[in-house]
Amino acid sequence: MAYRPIESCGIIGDMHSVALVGTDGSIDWCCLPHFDSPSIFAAILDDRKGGFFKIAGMQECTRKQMYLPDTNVLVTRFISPDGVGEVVDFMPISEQESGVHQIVRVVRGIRGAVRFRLECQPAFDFGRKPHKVVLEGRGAVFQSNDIRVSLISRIPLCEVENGGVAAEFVLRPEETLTFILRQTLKDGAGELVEARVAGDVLLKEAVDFWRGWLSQCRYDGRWREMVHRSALVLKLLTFQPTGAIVAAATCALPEEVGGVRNWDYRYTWIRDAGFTVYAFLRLGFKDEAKAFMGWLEQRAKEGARTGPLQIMYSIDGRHDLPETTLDHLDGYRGSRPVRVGNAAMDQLQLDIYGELMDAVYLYNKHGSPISYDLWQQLRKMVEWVAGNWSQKDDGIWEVRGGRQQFVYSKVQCWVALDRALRLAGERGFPIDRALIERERNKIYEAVMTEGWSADRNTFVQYFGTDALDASNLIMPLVRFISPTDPRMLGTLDRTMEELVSDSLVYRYEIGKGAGDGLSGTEGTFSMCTFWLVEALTRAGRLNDARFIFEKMLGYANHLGLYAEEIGATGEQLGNFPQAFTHLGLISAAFNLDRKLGRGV
Amino acid sequence: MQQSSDDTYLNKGTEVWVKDLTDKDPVARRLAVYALGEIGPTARSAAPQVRRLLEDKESFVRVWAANAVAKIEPEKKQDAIATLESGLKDEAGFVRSLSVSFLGTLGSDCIGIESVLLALRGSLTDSDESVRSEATLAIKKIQGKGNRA
Repeated sequence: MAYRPIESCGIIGDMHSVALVGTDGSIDWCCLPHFDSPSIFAAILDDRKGGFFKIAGMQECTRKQMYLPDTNVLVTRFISPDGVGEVVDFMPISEQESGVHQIVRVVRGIRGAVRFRLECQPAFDFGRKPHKVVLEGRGAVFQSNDIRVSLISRIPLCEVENGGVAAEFVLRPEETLTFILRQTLKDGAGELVEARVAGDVLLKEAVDFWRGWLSQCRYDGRWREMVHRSALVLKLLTFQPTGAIVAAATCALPEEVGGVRNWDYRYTWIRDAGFTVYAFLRLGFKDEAKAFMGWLEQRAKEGARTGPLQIMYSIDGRHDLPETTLDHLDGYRGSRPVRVGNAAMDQLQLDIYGELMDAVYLYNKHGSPISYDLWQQLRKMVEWVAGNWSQKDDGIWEVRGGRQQFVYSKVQCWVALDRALRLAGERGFPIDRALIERERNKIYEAVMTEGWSADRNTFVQYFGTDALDASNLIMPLVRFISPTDPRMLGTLDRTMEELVSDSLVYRYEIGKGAGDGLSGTEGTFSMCTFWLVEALTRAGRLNDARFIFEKMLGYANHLGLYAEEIGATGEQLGNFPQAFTHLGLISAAFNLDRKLGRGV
Repeated sequence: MQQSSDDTYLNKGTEVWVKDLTDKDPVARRLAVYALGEIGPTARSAAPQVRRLLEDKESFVRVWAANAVAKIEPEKKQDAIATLESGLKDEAGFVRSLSVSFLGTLGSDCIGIESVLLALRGSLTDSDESVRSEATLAIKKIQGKGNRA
């Protein structure tokens, strides 16, 4: 095997976990039973030891991928002069926690005769735990110490090297074979289902589920298919049992190939989740916002070492996410170390309270009125922000090079207090209005004086520097400043001069301003590009905004999916797919479309 | 393209798979007959040993052996009919389902295949959903209505 480009994958999932399926029919990433569980397939992080599950046409062929319309059911097609075949991949959705997590792979002959080869080679716990293979009448069982996975197959499977199984088969038109990879948390009873029948039923249920869910979407503007795809991705990144939303589906995919910025994003950042709730509400999805509010209320009650909330949690609410490196893995194309867990957990990032309060404010307005109990938690949190906004923090980019007075953090503290005042006013909730207003005003003036460089006519990254930061593009988006205020227009122009390359936006200049304490470089940051689109939109520069937006659409992969960053040659970099980018797309599309009106 | 590209199955030749035809594990015997069937006529030297498994004590091995006979000796694929027809009455639903599917694979050009149509129509009302769905497809193929390559 060899490493494929990060973007050459589609994603399927069951809102407990996901699998990445390459255009070559190989599942190279899957953690079971949950997003942040140890992997069973991780060939994206080590193509020899990581494990994979591949079903592909054996002949030279063209490969295509598509989703069944309005679903997260993925079709990988193998097209040659002799025949056409396809693999339909999905993970069945279970409304209840059944303890069973499955990947269903329906292989179909479409035209001619197509010979397929199946290879399934799990590698439990990132390849650290050995397993044995037992061939049975209806498939194979892979048994490790504490996890058991079955591959249900109608055709005989053959044990091959490295604890894998393989098979070859020919399919002609109307012929199908269904394989079900199933992990059971219980005793494994009832595993030997008839795959074909079960697969047909599950496929119909999966298609119905996704179409039913997407039918709630109220967005009817331009670029609807891309917006819908982004919504479907965000839903896949939602953990059904708790309502938590993970930042991305993977860990350790690099921000620079061969580099060291290889983080684990399979956790719930308050910031990312807040933005995601905002995006869901924009599109009319209320249930996801409601579920997240329930999860948030629990976290707020628990408290944290660095303030009312940690910046991130596990999907089930655990506070500790110890970071370790998996030194036995090569990393994607040699990008080491492979990190699992996240040491940024204990960072102080003051901005999270702003993103969160903005989402709560929107939820209260467009979702359902928040409860008094939740308000009590929020009020304590806001009062804490009022007393602590002047602290240095680690900032939105989680730099590991020391705390600063980051402008973005101050702006979001202002948002937290501003939204609290509005919310209290609209709902009549008790609040110390004088205190909150006074601190809100102080923040505003601090940003306008210490966060502003008159010499460079721009807002800066942190107090006392003249370095830029693309996160300041958010200022008009959160109504901190008018989009046409000369200071914002100056910042916009300076950002475009210094942080934008061919319409794509770097989040900051590495080596200038606050460092992240690491060597190497990184790509442009896709969410910042969408923020630029929004800032231009609100500034009335619609032609520029539309051009950059549509250019950015061209960097999506063949299925409309984005990672975190885009590299110098247009390749996607970082964890994939990433909620940040997709929610940025939704927000930019929503606002740009509204400004463009109903014309062309 | 219907056969494995280099006269092997999973990179093992006929002689390797033939050894497994007498394995005490029926799952291994089933794999061996399947592999030889996938190799196809090039595995003709193994046909006598494969035919012996038409009498295997395990019904699921018998029906897989019948399927292999039809692939290794396509000119004699009618020899598979009797085993597969008897598989239609097996108590195990998955054996009945396999039998129905393999009968359909024999196709409309198989001598004597029309004799199983009545039994296959009976499979349309089988208690097992898999058998019923395979029967629909098999009947189409046998009646020449399937979209063969």
